[in-house]
Parts: sequence; structure tokens; C-alpha cells
Amino acid sequence: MTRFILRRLAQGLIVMWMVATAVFVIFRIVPGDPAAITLGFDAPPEAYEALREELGLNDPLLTQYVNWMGDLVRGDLGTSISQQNAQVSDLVFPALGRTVELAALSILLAIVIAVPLGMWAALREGTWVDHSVRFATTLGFSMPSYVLAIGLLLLFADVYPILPPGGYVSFTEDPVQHLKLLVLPVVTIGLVTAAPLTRFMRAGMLEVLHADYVRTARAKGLEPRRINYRHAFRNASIPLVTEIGVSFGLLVGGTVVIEQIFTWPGLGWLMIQSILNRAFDVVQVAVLITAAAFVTVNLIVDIVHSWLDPRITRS
Amino acid sequence: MTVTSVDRRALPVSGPRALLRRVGRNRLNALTVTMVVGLVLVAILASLIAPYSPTASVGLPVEGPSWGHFLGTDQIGRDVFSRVLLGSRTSLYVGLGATTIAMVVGVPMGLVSGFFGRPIDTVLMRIVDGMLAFPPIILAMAMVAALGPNLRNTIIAIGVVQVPRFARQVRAMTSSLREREFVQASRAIGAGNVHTMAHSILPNLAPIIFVQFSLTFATAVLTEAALSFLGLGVQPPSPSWGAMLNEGKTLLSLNPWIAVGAGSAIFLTVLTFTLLGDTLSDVLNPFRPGDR
Repeated sequence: MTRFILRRLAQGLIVMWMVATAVFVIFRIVPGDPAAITLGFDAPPEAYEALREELGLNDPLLTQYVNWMGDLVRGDLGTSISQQNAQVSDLVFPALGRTVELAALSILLAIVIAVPLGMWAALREGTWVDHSVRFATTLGFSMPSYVLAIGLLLLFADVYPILPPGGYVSFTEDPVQHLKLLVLPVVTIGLVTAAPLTRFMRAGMLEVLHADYVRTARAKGLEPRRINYRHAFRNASIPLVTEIGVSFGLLVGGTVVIEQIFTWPGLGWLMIQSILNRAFDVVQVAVLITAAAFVTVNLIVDIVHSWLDPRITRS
Repeated sequence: MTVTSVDRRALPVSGPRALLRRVGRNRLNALTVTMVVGLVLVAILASLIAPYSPTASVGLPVEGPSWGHFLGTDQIGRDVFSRVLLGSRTSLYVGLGATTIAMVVGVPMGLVSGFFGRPIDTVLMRIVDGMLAFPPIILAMAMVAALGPNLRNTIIAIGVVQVPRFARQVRAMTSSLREREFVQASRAIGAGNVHTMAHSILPNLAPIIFVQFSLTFATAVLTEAALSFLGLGVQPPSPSWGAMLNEGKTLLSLNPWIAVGAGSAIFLTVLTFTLLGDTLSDVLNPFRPGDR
């Protein structure tokens, strides 16, 4: 077990190094010159040269790469020149926190919807219940989250204005308003995430219900309720844990458009604002942190999964 | 060698007519194919069907639906219905371009990786792992931000992001086909690596590649709309459903039909190509019990 975890951690580190390299490559092939963009194109050439020197843009690419990696290893994410020299970490980490809050609540809602619905469909396999659930999940698969978001916005912030259309207030400042602002984005992401989870729950449950040990449990006369929950649900939920983890990982980066629609100042929102303001020093760190969060979540999922199902460690 | 009696009904029937027959077997499949054909026709004939030019101001700004303008007009008085129709071109064009890039890069990657095994496999699959470490939309956004937002770069970014889907699936399938008798036989009679890959393995990959193409197409349409929604995709004044959805959001209380029209168009297109994926995997799988 310890060996498995160590090996996965080592793999995670390698992936992180690749991610950091990829971010470096993507943002060093920017056709626009960061110095010229920051200063504006009519800046005096001396100021422009000084800034290029300060940003290290005159160094050879290899030196720039070594400096970039060195800073990252030391945890120095730099200051943003375009954002009045703010520490980039002061911009990125609070935003990450708000994204995680949004993603976690959405996943919770998705689980609350998907688990009972998936089980219900599996236990009533082939009936109208099953067919309706499958139909609904197919629609859910094709419903882009941003289309659903606009629909909900139209319905609950415009036609029946019972919820705020978007914005942000910290929890400590006004808890009620904070939660009200979360309702629409959480419902949007929760519903969209619930569709694949429901399918997964249904498929997992069906597989287990046809397994020999469930037949044995039936044969020895156990009551159906006990079979469904103790024998079937418990075993079907192991792959579900992985799936939930993966969805959560995807959400850490996948809430971009939703954050933009509801002006929820998370990581995705910060990324878009920075791209539109051409603040590339912030964008590259935001991209890096998103990928890091994604890799970390996947790592945790793997470890939890191996803990739930010891067969994995050995394979 | 003579083959005396072959039960023709037991053999999987192939060819276009057999495929069409299998499509007709199932109502959902028939509906799906109709939807795909309809969508493509709309895109091709868009400028003929559209009552107005998609980029000209033809009415008062932000009017509700009327007989002259089915979905009303937008902020500068352009006909929303015409823009939704013409938007199908942008969507399908980006979908086709991006998916083709993903396929043309991903299939050879997976093929080579699965066929030769280590060490090529290790190198290629680490690259794929690295790409999968980014949430797809973030990688696409970063690339568009770096390259500059326009139609061509949107296609490239979406295509590159989807490469791992083809590479992974083709690799898995290839490494299992490699051990099969007909591949061994091809090599035994002296066929080279390239010939074996092209003539023995690739034809067997065709069904999964078609299915993957259709599903990736749906994702590409979805991603293009998301990028354009954020202002990082197709630039105005070209009609794009994503950009229209964004405009529609700010005009929601004045003319909700801008957002509803663009949103429904995205939803229907994605649904169509997702269903097409199901239909293809149903129709292209020759060994189905109900087919005899």
C-alpha cells in the first residue's frame, strides 16, 4: 500500500513537471510581446527595453525555463506587472477557494440526485421508470451547462425574479446572500454532472444485481431490502467513488463558463478576465494551478480507490 | 480450395445497402440519421433559407418575435433567425475541422504506440498523459489566448485538445489486434510494418474511429460555443451560437429569443451528434444478434 502511494506520488510529480513545461511552452510562443502589451505600443524604447530586461525576456529560452522552474519549486508565483505589481498568489488562491466551494456543493447536489435515481432505475430495469431515467440522462448529456445556466437565469432571475442573477458576497459579510448567489450556479452544475453519474450508478448497480453473490443472497432467502443495500449498493458504490472524484477534478477547471455567467469570481473567472486584460503573468499561473488541482484530485481518487478496493494495489 | 456451402445468412453483411438496412431497423437510428442530414442541409443551404443577411441591420434594435423576424432582432437590428441559421455553418465547420485534426494526429499516434509497444509507446503515452492533466477547456483556452482568438486558431486549439481521445482508444484496440491470427499471418507472409498496419489493423479500427469521430464532433461543437461565448472563439460579426448566447444573456429581459434560439441550436446539434455516435456503434457492429 505504502509503495503504491509512493509510486503514484512520484508519477504525480512527473506529470506536474510536464504540466509546468507545457504552460511555459504555450506562453512563450505568444506572438504578442508581453512587454509591449503591458506598456502599450507608444511607450519610449528605453522603458520597453528595461521591462524586457526585468521580465527576463532577453535571456536565452533555456535560462528563462530554468528560472521559471526554479521559481515554481520555491513556490514563488511572481508579481503581476499588469495588475499593479500584485502578488499573483494573492489573486489566484482566494479564487481557487471560491471555485472549490462551488464545485464541492455542485458535486454534493449531483450525488444526492444521481445515487437514488440510478438505483431506482436499476431496480426497475426495463420499466417506464428505467426508460424515463435513461431518456432524462441522454438529454442531460447533450445539454451544455451554459445553455442550462441561461435558461435558469431567464426563469428564476428574470421571469420569476426570486434569485439574484449573479455576483459575489463573502460568507462572513452576508451569509444569506452568499448562499442565494450560489443557488443558480450550483443547480446548473449539479444537474449537468448528475446525468453521467446517474448512468454510472445504474450500470454499476445492474452489474452487481446480476452477480452470483447477489443470486446466492436471494437464494438463501434474505429480504430484498437487505440485498439491495448491503450486498448490491455497497459494491456498486466503489466505482462510483472514482467517478465522483473524476467529475470533481473536471469541475475544478470546468466551471469557467458558469463562473463567467454568474460572475462568481473563481479561478475560471479570473482566468478569463486576465486573458481579456492580456495579463499573461496571471493567466499562466491560473492555468498551472488549475492543472495542479486536477492532478491532485486524481491522485487522491486513486489512493482512496485502492484503499476501498485492495485488489488494485496488487495489479 | 473450394468452399462448398456457406450459409449466407450467418455471415455479417457489409456494404452501404446493408448499413442502410440496419439503420432502418431501429426508429431512433432512422430519426438520428434524418436529424444529421437535416442539419447538414441547413448548413449548406443556410444563405438560401435565411430571410435576411446575417450581418446587416434589417430592423429596429432588440425587437421581439414578429412575422418579419421569427426570433426578433438583436442589439444592432440584425435578424436573429437568420443568424441562428448561418451559425450552423460556423459550428459544423469548426466541428469538422477540429475533429479532423484530432483524428489525423491521434489515430497514427495510437496506431504506432499500440503496434510497436515500448519504448515508443512510453514516450507517446506520456505526452498524452501530460495533455490529459489539463481540463480540456482550460487547455483550449490557454492555446487560444496564446495564439490569438480567431476561427483558425479555435479549430487548431479544439483539435489538439481532442487528440488524446483518438490516441488512447486506437492504441488500446491496436495492441489487442496485434496478437490476433490474421495479423500474425500477414507478418508471416512477409508484410512490412506499414503494410500490416494499413491493411490488417486499420480496417478493423474503422468502426471505433467513426464512433469516436461523431462523439468528438459533438464535444468540438460544444467547446467552440463555449469559447465563443467567452469571447475567445469566432470573432464578430461572424454568426456563432456561442457568441449569440452571450449577447442574448445581456438582453434576456428585452428579447429572450436570442438566447433561446442560439441555446436550442447548440443543444440540438450536440444531441444529434451524440445520438449519431450511438447509431454508428449500433450499425457498424456486424455481429449483432438481431441482424440475422
